[in-house]
Amino acid sequence: MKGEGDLEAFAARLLRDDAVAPRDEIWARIESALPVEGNRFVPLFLTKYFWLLAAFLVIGLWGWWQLQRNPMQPLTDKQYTQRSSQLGISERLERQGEAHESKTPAIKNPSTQSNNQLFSTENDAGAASANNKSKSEIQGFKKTDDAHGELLPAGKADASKAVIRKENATEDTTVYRENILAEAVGKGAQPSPASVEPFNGSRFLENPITDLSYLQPIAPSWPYYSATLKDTRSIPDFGPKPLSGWVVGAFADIRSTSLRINNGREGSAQLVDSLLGAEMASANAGVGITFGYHFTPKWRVTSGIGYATWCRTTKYPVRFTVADAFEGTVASSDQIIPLEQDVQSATGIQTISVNAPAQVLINNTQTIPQDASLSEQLAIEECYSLLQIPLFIEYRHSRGRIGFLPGAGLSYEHVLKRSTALVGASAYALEGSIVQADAARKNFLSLTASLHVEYSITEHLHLRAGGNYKSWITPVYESELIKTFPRLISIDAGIIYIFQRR
Amino acid sequence: MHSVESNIIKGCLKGKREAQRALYDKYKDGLFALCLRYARCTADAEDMLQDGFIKVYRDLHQYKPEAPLAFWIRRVMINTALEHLRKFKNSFSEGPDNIRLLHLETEEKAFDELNAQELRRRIAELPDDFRTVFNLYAIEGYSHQEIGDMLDISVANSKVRLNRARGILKRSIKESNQYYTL
Repeated sequence: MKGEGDLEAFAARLLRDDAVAPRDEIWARIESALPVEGNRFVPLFLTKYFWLLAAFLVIGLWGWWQLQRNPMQPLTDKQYTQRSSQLGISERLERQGEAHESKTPAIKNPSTQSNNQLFSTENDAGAASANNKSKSEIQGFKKTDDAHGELLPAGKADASKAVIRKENATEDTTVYRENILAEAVGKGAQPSPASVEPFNGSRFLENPITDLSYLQPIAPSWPYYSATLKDTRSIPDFGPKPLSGWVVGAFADIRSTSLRINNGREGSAQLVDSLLGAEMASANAGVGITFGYHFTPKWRVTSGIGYATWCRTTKYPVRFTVADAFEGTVASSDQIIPLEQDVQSATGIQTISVNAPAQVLINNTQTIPQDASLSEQLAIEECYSLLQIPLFIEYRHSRGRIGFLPGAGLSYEHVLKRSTALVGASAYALEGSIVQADAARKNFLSLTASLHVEYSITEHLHLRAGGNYKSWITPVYESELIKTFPRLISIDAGIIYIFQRR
Repeated sequence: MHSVESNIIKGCLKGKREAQRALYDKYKDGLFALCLRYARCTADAEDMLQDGFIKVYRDLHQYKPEAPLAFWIRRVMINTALEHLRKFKNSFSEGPDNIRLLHLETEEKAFDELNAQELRRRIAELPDDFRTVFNLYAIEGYSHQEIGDMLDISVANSKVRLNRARGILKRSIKESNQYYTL
């Protein structure tokens, strides 16, 4: 069948060793794709969403650092004054200190004490038993009447046990300790030196240490004590408290979009679309308010309303192959992104129809040389103003003041305003005008996955920051030829207020 | 194998960008012409070329030096082109059944008036199925059996497609010839 001189032989002779130089940009495209293709240890999403991952990492490290911070910090003067006045013990201690100082000069001598002693009232039972029980109760603490004689916060007698650790012994701390003891065992009582047991680390294991902040130093020059309350319910801290009740808040976000085009291109071709031809992502912003309900301490459902602007610039390569006849506007599957259109005329005004996302009419006002193969980049910028109504469910994992909130939800969006414009200039004086595409949708639905970190300023007020990944499940643009499904990553920050349910 | 080519291959295997660029520069023109023959448009050809070279760099460790490198790369590029065509198959608007063929007598002299660019353009106008078989058979030199295996079609189907491609091309060339002589 393949004889000499027939069509096949002619084609083989003419084309087998044919060579056509590709555009210089092709190597740049290959080069940009190579790190992704060549290194399987760096998945595509790691490179594509590097900044989002970096933001998560920073937030995570910050949260970890917060959790690792030693809670046993010395109080500032202001904090001390506030807390001691809240508990009403500072004045008492001062009075007690003055009175006790005059009565027990021997105990003031630091030489009778050794550094790093565990300072406890547990062995004070003998001394305490001689005192009146009614005197053992002080504001903030009371002495138990059992044999162990532990310091207990007032009103939490059965639940709490306190152990005080002496970090650095000085004369002042001795006074402080003695005052505490005096308060604990009863006014005027003096614990014997033997009642102060030596430091024993195992005691700490037996009596877990947490912060008893209101036993912090009573004067700035004092070294600090740290102590433990087993029953954290008695700590006047909002962190471990169950969060429940109505939620209101506000947020702002910045976002970056990419476009998934359902035009049959898959795999690497689709990657090429997203990296090179079809989409140039840009950052945009949104603001909104949110409200919801914390129906359990860990679960909350939120909704709200948001306003966002969303602009994306899509670049379409338009290539002109000048031929000998102009056939007018063509609307065929060949014009699926990336646009490929033969303009079959050398001069005059031609019209090119782009099927997505809007029709673009291009007027060639300059003579194009015969046999020229031109390449132009046309960029279409679409801007949307959107009204967003999300419905979210979030799970809160609390660690003190820090809460980690993975969440997922659905978002309905309505286009308030949409504008389309041609961007950029052409070397061949191609003037463009846009015919609005009828296929642009006005209402979208999207799915969102998120991870947020909340920092509790007070038990009601919480700062919030995190990231979102959103994928539209209904097309933003839909025609017979293509459907576009944007994807969006965003980081947001805001503040929320939770009305605690009592 | 030339030492230069051997060095290029070694460099590519190590992921060196200069070697990859050298390999690209050496083969890009011929392979782009090959892609143009299979693609429906220049953009598709560029996509094929890009994907093909990425595969070449990725799979270069599979290359066995017994065969010429150019042959191996060409084969990779053809496979890439066929994959592209398969992916775009759903968007084809015309199939073999929709083509009404005219049996025209071809004048050999009409061929001579064609240059490579014009012939490429005529081939590009063929429906994808016909164009693919024509390229594989006429230009690459594959047999119908090999084509059938590559495209997962029967030998008879391959022959039918080739005949129809030939018919369309002859008609196109003849019309072109008439146009030129007007």
